[in-house]
Parts: sequence; C-alpha cells; structure tokens
Amino acid sequence: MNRTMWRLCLGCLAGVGVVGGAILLLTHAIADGKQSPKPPNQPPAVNLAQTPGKNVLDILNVRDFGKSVIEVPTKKLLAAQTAGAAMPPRDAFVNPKVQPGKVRWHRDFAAACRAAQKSGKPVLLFQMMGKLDDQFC
Amino acid sequence: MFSQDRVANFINQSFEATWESVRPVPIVRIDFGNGNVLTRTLHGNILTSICTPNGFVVDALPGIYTAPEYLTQLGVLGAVAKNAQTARADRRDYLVRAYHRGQAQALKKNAKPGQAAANRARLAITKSLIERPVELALLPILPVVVPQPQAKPETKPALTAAEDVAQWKELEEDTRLNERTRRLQIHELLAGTGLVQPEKVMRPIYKDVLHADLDDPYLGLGKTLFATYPFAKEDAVH
Repeated sequence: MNRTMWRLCLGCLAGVGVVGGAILLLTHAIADGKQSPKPPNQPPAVNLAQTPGKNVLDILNVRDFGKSVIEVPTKKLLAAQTAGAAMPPRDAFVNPKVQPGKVRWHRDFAAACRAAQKSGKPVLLFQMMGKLDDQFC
Repeated sequence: MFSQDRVANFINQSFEATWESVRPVPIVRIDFGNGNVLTRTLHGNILTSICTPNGFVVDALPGIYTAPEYLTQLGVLGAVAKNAQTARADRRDYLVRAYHRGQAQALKKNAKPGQAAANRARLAITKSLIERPVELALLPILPVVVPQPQAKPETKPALTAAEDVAQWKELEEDTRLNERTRRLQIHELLAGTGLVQPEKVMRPIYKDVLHADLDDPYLGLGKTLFATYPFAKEDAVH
C-alpha cells in the first residue's frame, strides 16, 4: 500500500514538473518574441521576411518553412511598392520628346543675347504654349 | 516649320535664336474606345519677337505664318533690328516708336503688308535723306533677300489630301489675319511702349492680340466652356 502511494506521488510530481516546465518555456519564448527590437523606420519587407524567434524554433521544433512563407509576401510587397513608379496610371498622357527642328537654339534668352552681342545678329525669341521639343505643342 | 532646311538655315544665319514656353499647352484627348484616341493641341498661340542684342523688343510676329511669309517678315524685321542697333543709342527708342507708328498708319490705310518697305526703298532713290520721314528710318533700303524654294517660285506645297488643302488654306488665312489685324495691334502697342523687354509685353500681347489670357487657367475660355454645362454645380461640390 505504502509502495503504491509512493509511486502515485512520484508520478504526480513528475507530471506537474513536465507541465510546469513546458509552461515556463512557452512563456519565456513569448516574452522573447515581444521584446524583439523593431527599428522605427524599418521597411515592412523585413518584417514579412523576418525569421521567427530562435527560441520558438527550438522549443516548438517547428517544421522547416516552405519558400512561399518568405518569398510570396516579399514579391507582393515589391509589386505594390514599384508598380506606381514603373507603370504610369492608365489615363496619364505622356508627351513624347522630339527634336525641336534644325535651328540652333540657345538655352535661354540671356544666352541668346550674350551670343548676339558677340555676333551682332538680332535675337529671335520664339515664345509658345507648350514646349517645342514635345511632340504635341 | 523649324524642321525645314530653308527656314532653319535662314534663322541660323540671321539670328541668335531661342525658344521658351509661356505655359503648358492645352491638350485635348478624346478616347473613342478600343484604342482609338484622338490627341490635339491648341495651335497658333505663338509669338516671334525680334530683339536687339541687349534684349529689347524691336518688333514681333503674332501667331503662325506660312513658311515663305514667315521668312519674308523675319528678313524685314531682322533688318529693322540691325538698323535700330546701329542708330545712336539715345535715338533708338524714338526711332522704334516712329517705325511702329508708321507701320500702323500704313496698315490702317490698307496698304499691302510690306508696302511701307517698298515705299522706303523708292524714297531712298527719289528724295534726299533729309526729306525721309522718320517713320521709315528703320526700314531696309534694299529689298530683303530671303531664301526661296529651289524648285519653283510657287511656294505652296503640293497637296493631295483634302484635309491638307484645307489646313493650308487655314494657314494662309491665319497669315493674312496676322498681317492685317494682329500686326496692327502689335504696332500700336509697341508705338506706345517703345523699346521694351519681352516679359513686359508678352502677357498683354497674348491676352489682347492672341486672345489667350495667360493669367486665366482656362485661357479666357471659361465662360464658353462652362456656361451651358449642366453639371457645373455638381462638379463644384466635388
């Protein structure tokens, strides 16, 4: 009888010890996760691609991540960030640049006046709406 | 026009040229769907000013011209500017005002464009220097030579499509309007201002001569554009 009681007590203690240890480790791991520093201006890509805390991997012995866990969010993020710069909005009008004729144009009126003072020629100032080197002007 | 060798060579030989934008050009795009898009701009709102080397406007050509008429006028204006530059500095402003007064009077009398220059040449031969009116002092004595097309004296390009012919007629009509009406307004303006910096007369010329108010975001067309638009109030709310 005494021997049986002794075995039960030992079993209970062992069980409590295992469960307590597991809770303790889990709490520690969560606390580590919360304390992981996050730079103020860090781009979101780093967060999305960030590997989980070392302790979490150790404790939970998580299976190896698939590539998609890291790569897909990064691709989405890059697409979202670069789409606007690479592709103009559908309705935006881009006026193609062209050669402004065969006239030797001075950069501005002041430059033309400086050249005229040397050459003695009058200045021709051509003013317009739009730009002469735009296709639609 | 500046892509034509004849025009570009003449300008390069006779002037120190520069261009500047006074504001963005209004662009009209109509999307008919299925990739059919029509894009057009408002033409004709251009101004060619001929200035002395120290940067004062001697005369100006408003709007667009046919290439032959543009070259002819540039030739005369270039000579006027050179004559003004060679005149005594204290008389330049007086001579330029007199030149514009004389040109305005000639246009009011329905003289043909360029007739005053021809009169000036005749006077140089038949009358003494003292008797020459001051209004003609800056005009060239000899006819200005401008490059002509090599093929035929007729400068009208060979046009086939009906649209091209219509555009050429519009351009010729614009040229006539510029020489008759708009040039008169410019002569009257410059007769009052005398030698003046381009930025001082650019806005008045655009507003009063070319009818494009640069200070108005809708170039003075607002009333026409919005007067009968039924959703103006709704758009204003948004």
